[in-house]
Amino acid sequence: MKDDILVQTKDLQTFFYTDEGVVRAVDGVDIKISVGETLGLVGESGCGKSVTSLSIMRLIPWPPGKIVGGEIWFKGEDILKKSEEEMRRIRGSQISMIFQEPMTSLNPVFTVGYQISEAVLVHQDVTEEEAKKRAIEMLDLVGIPDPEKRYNEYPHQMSGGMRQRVMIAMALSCNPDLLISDEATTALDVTIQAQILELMKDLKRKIGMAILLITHNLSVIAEMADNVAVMYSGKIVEYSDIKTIFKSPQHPYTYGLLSSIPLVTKKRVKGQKLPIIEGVVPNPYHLPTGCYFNPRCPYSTKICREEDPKIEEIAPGHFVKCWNYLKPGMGV
Amino acid sequence: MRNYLIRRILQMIPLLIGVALVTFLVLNLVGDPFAQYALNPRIKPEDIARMKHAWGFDLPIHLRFFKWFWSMLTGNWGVSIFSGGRPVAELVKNSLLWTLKFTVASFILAFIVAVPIGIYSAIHQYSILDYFFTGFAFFGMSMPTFWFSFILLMIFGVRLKWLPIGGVMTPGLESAPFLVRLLDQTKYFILPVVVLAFNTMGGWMRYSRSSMLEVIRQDYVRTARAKGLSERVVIYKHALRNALIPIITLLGIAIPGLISGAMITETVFGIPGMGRLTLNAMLNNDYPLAMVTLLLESYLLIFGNLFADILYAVVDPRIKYT
Amino acid sequence: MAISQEYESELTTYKAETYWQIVFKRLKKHKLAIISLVLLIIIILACLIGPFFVKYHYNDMSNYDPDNPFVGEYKPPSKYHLFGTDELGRDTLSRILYGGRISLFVGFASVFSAIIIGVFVGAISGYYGGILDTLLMRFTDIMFSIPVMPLLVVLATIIPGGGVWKIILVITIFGWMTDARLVRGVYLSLKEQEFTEAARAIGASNSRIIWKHLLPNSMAPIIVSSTLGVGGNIIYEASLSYLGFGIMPPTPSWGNMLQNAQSAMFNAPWLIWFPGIAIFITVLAFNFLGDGLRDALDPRLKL
Repeated sequence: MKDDILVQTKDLQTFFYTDEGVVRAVDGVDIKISVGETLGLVGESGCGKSVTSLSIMRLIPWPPGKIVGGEIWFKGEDILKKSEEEMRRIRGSQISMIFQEPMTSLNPVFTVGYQISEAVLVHQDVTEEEAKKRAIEMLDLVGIPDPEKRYNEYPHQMSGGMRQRVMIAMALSCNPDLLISDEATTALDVTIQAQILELMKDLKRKIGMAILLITHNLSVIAEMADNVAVMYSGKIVEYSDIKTIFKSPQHPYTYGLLSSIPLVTKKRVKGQKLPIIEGVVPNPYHLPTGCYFNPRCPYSTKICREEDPKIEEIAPGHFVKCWNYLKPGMGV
Repeated sequence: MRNYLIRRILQMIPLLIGVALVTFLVLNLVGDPFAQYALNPRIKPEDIARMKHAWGFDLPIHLRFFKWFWSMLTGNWGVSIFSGGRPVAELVKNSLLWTLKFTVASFILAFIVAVPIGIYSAIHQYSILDYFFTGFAFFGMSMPTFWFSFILLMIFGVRLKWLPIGGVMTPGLESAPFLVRLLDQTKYFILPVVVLAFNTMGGWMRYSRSSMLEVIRQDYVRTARAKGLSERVVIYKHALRNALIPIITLLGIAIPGLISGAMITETVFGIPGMGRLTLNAMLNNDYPLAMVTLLLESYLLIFGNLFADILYAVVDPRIKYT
Repeated sequence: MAISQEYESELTTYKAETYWQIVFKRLKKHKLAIISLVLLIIIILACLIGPFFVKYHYNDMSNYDPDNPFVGEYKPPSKYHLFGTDELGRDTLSRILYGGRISLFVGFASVFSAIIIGVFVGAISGYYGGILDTLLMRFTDIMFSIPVMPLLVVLATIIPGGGVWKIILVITIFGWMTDARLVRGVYLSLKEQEFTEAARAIGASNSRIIWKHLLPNSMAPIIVSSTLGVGGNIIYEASLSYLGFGIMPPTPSWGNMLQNAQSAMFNAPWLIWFPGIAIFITVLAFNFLGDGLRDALDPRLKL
């Protein structure tokens, strides 16, 4: 079992040093992704999801950000110990990433085809002709019609959905072991979003890569993920396989997230409001004492305000970071 | 592309007419420009009458404008009374040549110095050199052109005696071999070119710096890094290509500053260029000549902008031509 | 957008500070801007109060004195004349302080009047749009297409007189277009927004919306462009005066003190140094302050 771990972060800490103070954007995160697994990383904006993924890519911009502690193991090696040049060779070939903004993530002055073949050229020992062939193949693979013609188009000539397909084609052009998708479908129309997710699922089957799926959209997670990690204020608060999370969430925050999805199937009593999590994400400069979630937590007790809980394995493969996790019969 | 060109040129026509109208009105506000001549005993009344007719002063003002504008367009610019009756076209041609010589030189100097420095400052934001160049840029922007000229003249002309303190060539060298003249000319042009370049450089450095800074924060630069491209390729290929596009507009933006700066530099260094011609025309109440030079300088500016826009359209694939 | 900005937006929403508190806090971090502000206050006070404390009036001519080699015409700096004397034996220090009043006044007054015209044109143009907007903006384009220095020289010749007010008028005539474009841009982007709609819905008149609701939103770009503008106008005044079209002697201004200075290059360089340094330091301070204000008010402003 241990052998097919692809990526594992251990006590990862990424801080941002701003004029107003230090932001502990990622503060002791442990996640692991096995070969071919899809891990969903969920949380509100600002909880550190994106920073976690950029840390794995080692693309945290300094200043102000810096990975200050922990380890990131990828295929049995700590990539934090690698040189920039070694890391560069991993980026785009073994770990690829697609971003939230398809409209701005492609360089406007180069053709889309060139931008894909460029990725192939830097990582593989191929001629420009072969790279171009590969790029056209990839465009075809991600379902862009008439790829030969599209190869020579500029990003501004394409729709958002098409551009995101190009981004995926670029990311997958070197058959990566891990694809990081950072809110890749958030900015798209719902129908396009469904198409892109379908495409990713399909490609995953074909290529067999692992996916780190970052989203705040739980229905996307339900659709795609094998395991789920829930993040809050730079820390993982709950981690488990998908079924367990959706069936019996243990952290009050996870519970809150899940119950704020409107379900058409569930009959709602007339006048009943959709449950929401009260309050906002805490100010990262002035984090609350104790558990960071305690000011918003309906089950908060004295210890929650005084001491930060450790993450605990409450059932095999199910981790929760909470003093009073929702034991069966707590009224859920 | 052709459609874009045509549309852009059509849009320019009202501007060309408008500028002519403003120039015309401003210089007709003085009333009768020939009143001065009437006081001059050396000018015969018949000549004044002839000139009045030539300039359309016997017509109502709107017809006078069209007559004037038409003669401007057809190159029929008349003679300048205070330059001994020499044709205005000839005066303008000579002056324009001198002005172009040293403004183009200083434009090139400023461009090749300022743009790389701006780019460097952006890539190494907050480095010591960035602070140094920022200070340098602010010095350039805050220094009156003529005062900076004085200082350089005091150092290199008066104290060190390396360079001449004014004029455009050493007397007596008119028929010397070409290389000797070129060398001589260079000596005279070093200071004016440097002064004018220094004056414009500051703004350009800041402009290219902020253009590059904006680009290196873009998502597509992050994408380029995520692809595994080396930092060199990310910066000098992906970012620079985009940063240079707005810098092209500098070609257009630069012209007004150069024309204004040239007027002062020409006065300080005694270069008989367009700025001096305008100045002398105004000092001598030679309004017909001033109208020609003012209009010409404005048109230079408008066509410079047109040129920059076309260049922009050529390098930026996002501009649609249809 | 980019990561750092993402973070900024995530971080800023927490504190309940007013906009101006934040601006002031950001400005305080811009050391050069603060130094410049202090320097400008000192310069302005010196020019306002200074003339009362110097020994010589700006037009007093120091007479030749066979026993004192430091008084008379073209005398270098000494304890009698700290900044030396000019071709008529007038005290340079006194003339710089008095000339500073004139130069600074021209700088401020022309910016102020340019703002009034610019805001008016920009607001009307941006708010009403349509044919009025087209006409006003075409006119702005035309004014932008005439090079500044030649236009200044022409205007300074055809407008009679040689006083301070004429120069202010001349500089205003070409100076209002930038403000007009800035304000128009802000109005165009704001007039369709909710709070404008809301103001209209509760029955506010057009003029009330223009001046009470929209104008405050144009403050940031106007403040930055005016600060930079004061420095720029001081240079324009100096350049015009140098060319002989500016403030007419005997009234001193920093510019016309340099008018005849070119001939002093050989024997009286202090006549070039002191007025020039006064202009340079003042304009530099305005530029640094403007730069700091831009960063503090709205870093995305392109000015």
